[in-house]
Amino acid sequence: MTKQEATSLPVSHLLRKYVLQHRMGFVLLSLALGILIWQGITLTGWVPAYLLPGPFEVAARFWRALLDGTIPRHFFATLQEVVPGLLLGSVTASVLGYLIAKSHVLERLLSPYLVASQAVPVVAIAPLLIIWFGPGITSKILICALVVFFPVLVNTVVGLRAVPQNLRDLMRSLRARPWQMVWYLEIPAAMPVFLGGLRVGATLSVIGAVVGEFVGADRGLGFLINVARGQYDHPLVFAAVLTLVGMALALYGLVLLAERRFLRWQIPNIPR
Amino acid sequence: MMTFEVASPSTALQPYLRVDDVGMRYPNDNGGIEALRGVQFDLHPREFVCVLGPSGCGKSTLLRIIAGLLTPTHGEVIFYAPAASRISLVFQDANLMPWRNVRENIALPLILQGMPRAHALQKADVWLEIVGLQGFGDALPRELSGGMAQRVAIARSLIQEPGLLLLDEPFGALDALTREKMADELLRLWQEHRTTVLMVTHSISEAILLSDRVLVFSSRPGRVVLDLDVNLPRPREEEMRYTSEFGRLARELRRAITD
Repeated sequence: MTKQEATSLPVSHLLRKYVLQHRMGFVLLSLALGILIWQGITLTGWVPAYLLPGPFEVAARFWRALLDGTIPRHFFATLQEVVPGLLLGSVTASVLGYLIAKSHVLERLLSPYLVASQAVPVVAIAPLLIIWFGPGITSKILICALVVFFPVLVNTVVGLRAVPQNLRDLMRSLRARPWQMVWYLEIPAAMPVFLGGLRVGATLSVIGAVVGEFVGADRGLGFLINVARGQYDHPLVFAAVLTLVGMALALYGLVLLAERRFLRWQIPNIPR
Repeated sequence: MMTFEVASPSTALQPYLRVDDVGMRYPNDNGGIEALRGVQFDLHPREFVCVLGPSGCGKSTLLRIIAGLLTPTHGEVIFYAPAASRISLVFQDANLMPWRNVRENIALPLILQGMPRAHALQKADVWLEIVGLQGFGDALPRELSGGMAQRVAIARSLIQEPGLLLLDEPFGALDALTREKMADELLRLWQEHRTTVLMVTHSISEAILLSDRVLVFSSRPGRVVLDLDVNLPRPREEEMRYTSEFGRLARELRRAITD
């Protein structure tokens, strides 16, 4: 592949190769450009500084909140909702997804509820869950799990349906036991699509936690945003939002790492 | 039935299996498609039998019935060999697991039988060498050519030392030269390991070169229209393709297929 790209010379190819080789550098460049534009807008004075604080003001506020423990405290409070919620949601979704992929009866019985649960926005259910399970961590975990559930479920079903019939026949002709069918064929074959669902789920889980904290909580980054907004501490709002973005990106990155580990056979040109 | 047994060189032996009046009808909206009707033949231990016939004559269906992947709608397949003996099926596509490397693919049957992984991988290394793929143990299936992949599939099927090897056009997806080479290698492997083989093929010369007997199937519904002994001496070589006996057999088979 690299050989072909080197011999054919279109500029787009060279550019693409260059971008791939310097991926990290380009991420930094894009960040720097964004910050520059942001700073530019605040300097022109079109937007009052108390509505849109400049990047350096936000960075300073972030630093202060980091040192006085505000950000870490709320960060870990949110993380304690996001991670168990993600696990709970994806485990139940993959188990149920497996059963649905195997049984058309179950699929027909459950799909109205599944689709309905998707049609109702989380924001609408969140208050109910908080009434039922209290303003503590349980209700937030459940909200996260609920948001994660659907994409993981759908991808589990799609992934399992795509397991090649030829390989099923092979396993049957080798007299594989049912658990061997799952472990040696279905799990690895469905893994690419499943991890795609988990990638979406990981970022949605963060959103779920924030929604829950907005509705009713006494800690977490969503709660912090609410409080800071009430105090017109807009730099802190920005700092909390950026922390959330960081958390979502980190979770997304973890799934990407899992993909690199489990899907090595799919990714071309990764040295083994 | 009786006359057939007298004609066969291995009369004294009990057959390995008997395909007894097997019929297969796939259901559809107007009465079903009849793939096989009244298929009847014996397979003797250590015999190499090829099945020839036009496409769509139910040859693959027959193999899948013998392998136990399908249940016939009529008749049955009777095994006289010990029940423990294994059946191994090789498909037209190599059908490797893309996430397992070559060594792990070859070892799969043993691992499924419960052999410890390390031991199974060791045995796979032996088979890698037998099929001439030493050094490719860590390669992934997508890095292999069609011929190499099919060799991995054959190693995977032979590693469990099957009593019966079913080959469903195993070289159908390969180019002509690779195909001849693979046929030679299969012959060599069979001469060393001597299992009972039933192979579906489209190639008349391949069938003659490899087998003790050739069964010719009619088009749908598939039936055995000719059961021809191939009495060429073994070991056989490529050169035999140009002998007059080979030509005579080829003509006879060709006539049976076109009829």
